[in-house]
Amino acid sequence: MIIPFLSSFDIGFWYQLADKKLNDWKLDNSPKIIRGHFSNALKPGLPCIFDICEQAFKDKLQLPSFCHVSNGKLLLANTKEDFSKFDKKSLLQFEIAKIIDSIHTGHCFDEPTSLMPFTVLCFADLKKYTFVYWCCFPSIHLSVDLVADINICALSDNETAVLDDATLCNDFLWAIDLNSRSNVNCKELLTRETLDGVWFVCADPSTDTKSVGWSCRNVINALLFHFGSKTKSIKLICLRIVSENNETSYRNSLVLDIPTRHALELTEEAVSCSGWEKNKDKLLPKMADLSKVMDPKVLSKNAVELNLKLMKWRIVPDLDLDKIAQQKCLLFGAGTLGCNVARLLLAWGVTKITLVDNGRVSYSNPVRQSLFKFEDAMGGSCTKVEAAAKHLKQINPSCEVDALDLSIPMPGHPVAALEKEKVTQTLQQLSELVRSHDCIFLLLDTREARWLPTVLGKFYRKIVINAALGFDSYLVMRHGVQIPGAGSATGDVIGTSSMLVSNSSVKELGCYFCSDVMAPGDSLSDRTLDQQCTVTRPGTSMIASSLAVELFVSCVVHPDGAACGASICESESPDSALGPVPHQIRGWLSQLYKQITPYVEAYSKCVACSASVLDAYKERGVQFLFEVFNEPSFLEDITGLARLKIEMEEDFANEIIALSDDDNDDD
Amino acid sequence: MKWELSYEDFRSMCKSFLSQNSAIDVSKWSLEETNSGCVYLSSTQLKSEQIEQSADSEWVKYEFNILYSESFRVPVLYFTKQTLSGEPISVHKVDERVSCQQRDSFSGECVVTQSEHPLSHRPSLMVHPCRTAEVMGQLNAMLDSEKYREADYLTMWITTYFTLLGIEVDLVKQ
Repeated sequence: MIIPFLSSFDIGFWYQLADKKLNDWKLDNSPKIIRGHFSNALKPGLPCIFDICEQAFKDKLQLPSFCHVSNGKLLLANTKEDFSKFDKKSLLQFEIAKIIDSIHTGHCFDEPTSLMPFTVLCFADLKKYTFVYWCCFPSIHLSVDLVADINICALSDNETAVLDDATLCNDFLWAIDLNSRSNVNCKELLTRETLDGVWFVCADPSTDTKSVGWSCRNVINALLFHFGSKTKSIKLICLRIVSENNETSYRNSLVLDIPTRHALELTEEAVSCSGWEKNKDKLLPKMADLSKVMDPKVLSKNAVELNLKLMKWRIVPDLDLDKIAQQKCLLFGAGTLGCNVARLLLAWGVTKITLVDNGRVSYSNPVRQSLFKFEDAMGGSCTKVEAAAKHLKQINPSCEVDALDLSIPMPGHPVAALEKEKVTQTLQQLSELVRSHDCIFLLLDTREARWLPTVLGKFYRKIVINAALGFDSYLVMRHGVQIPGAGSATGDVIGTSSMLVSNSSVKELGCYFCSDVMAPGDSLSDRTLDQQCTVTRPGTSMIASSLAVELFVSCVVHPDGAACGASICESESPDSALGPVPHQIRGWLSQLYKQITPYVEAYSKCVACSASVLDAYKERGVQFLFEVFNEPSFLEDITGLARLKIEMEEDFANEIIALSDDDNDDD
Repeated sequence: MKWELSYEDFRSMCKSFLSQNSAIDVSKWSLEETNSGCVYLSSTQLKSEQIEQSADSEWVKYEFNILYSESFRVPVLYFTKQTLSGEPISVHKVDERVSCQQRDSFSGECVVTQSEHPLSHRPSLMVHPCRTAEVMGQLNAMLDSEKYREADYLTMWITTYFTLLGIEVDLVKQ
């Protein structure tokens, strides 16, 4: 017969609550006045909604017609335990007592909505932005006998005609005097002897054809208490409004004939009551999780993802953004190139970045190295990796950055006996780092520093992106990965012929060292100051970093990954969602900003990526590395370069006697 | 062929939509005005929908705002979708519904994104207006242009996009 209210909260209410708690109330948990409302003009089929919207904290609400305001209380619990331990039974009894009092004094007719107050018990976790809440709509039960005797039926033609004549009132509870065909205030009826020709009308939030809304029950109690002695039966019209086609009708209303003969003892001790809202038929609280829209970190993460998704939705539907975002990137070097690469990786949604650098931020750095600020360079300056990690987190709090202050051992820089243990540890650490990441970026400032990461990258079959700068020139390339079954030919730079090296005939692509016939040695000592710090036009590094990241992403989304063949010509139809993927990108700012995309096959005698080097590393590990650091020409021996040079010199000596400058010589 | 509107067109269409509608039940729609005096349509509706696939239907609250886009010269639909607890339902869930509902002729025409609501400044879902003029142009070509009345633009527009979004349209009971 009675349908409970279904509470409905507006997100605006939670925003307001969070705001007030943070700024106004703080730790003050005294009850706060709030207002809710319900409507008796709901579409048939809808549940019995009790609305607590954004206006809940206002004194006066602006609501559409046929909405009825209810006054309530907001009780805040400081902790989850306080919420659970809260004495709900006492609260209900307290509220019921107030309603009973309101009925006894007749106040309920001055302010009918005092028959329908509500309470919201809430625990607001403002770190997680979750709100646990429980609503209470106190309601006094009717006796079982009474309920059985109440007659409920639809509106008859006679009743419709009466309502047609009367002025429909927007109040929660009112009455119609049939004799005068006018509305009557219930309070006025208290002074009458009988209730002949009086119909009561109350707004009914239910749309059900057989049951009335929760709010009607207290109304019935009030009417019985005051008018039970004056009449044998109370007629209550539970009014529902239907708005359709710009017409309003009340044809869905129900009429209750309430016999008054059953005893009604309206005291706290005698009545039974209920009111705590059930959550899917269980007496449990409900929860609103608003972290997605309130937690700034979540908002940031979602906004960044959304931005990338727009690219996918509107332009490149086959783009696998998740694959890109999940890449774990290891950056060797946190200088000019490193800072820009790291920042751009964030833009692509990458969050796992590891930075390796042994430098500290100096005063010349912030202008060129985009993750550093002036403060980072000041007295007792911090390490580059620390500063970079800190600023990356300030840009995107969701990123996970590991900052490692490590020196990379290099060929031609012998390791002193004292240092050997420390360097061994570093080597193990570096090996594990490369193994555990998906991609490594070589962004270092010397040739020899790139040797070890190149070997490790090739050994562990990772995507290796290498960027190197000249004064006004740049090289950005990806190292080749082993292709099972393919041998590597002697390598020369093929040039920019329009020939796609297709996957079926692809040879292994070269690395940074494949074009060289000299082992990397110490290039640092004996250099002048300007040669020691890389002096380049500032734009060069930005261009190179951008190309490095885009080249990396193109590889990731290519079905063959790092092993994809090298494209040389623009018009080749790409397998990758992002277009053809070159092997190398070389550019010169001073040559009319020329840029070419050559490719180099892996060199069988390469000092870094050839089989002889990798095998030596595999067999002898750290020991082999130490031999290289101490004497880089060792590399020329094991790769066969040394022998090759000797042979070439011999050939040269044997075969070529003289060179003529005279073109007309017939020789 | 595109069908674009001026703001004046939009404003009079809103008024006709509310007063002369024989197809859609407009009792829940109202005309509002922004601080700068621009009109927009507003509605709060409760619908029963499956939020998760193969779960029970639940009550879901929609709040619709139809504003005018100066740059695209078409109406823009902003909406929020919440559970009864006030918890917003995520873009992904809406996205799934969109892809389920899309028909071949309109694939790609309905892009739902999360953006900042221009009035409340809170996160809100939006049907991006970039393809609206085209979509409406296509629809117009399919209809008998003599029968076109002002109210029809918005009715067609709402019906089309609600259907694409998987939102039930309240129709007038015949």
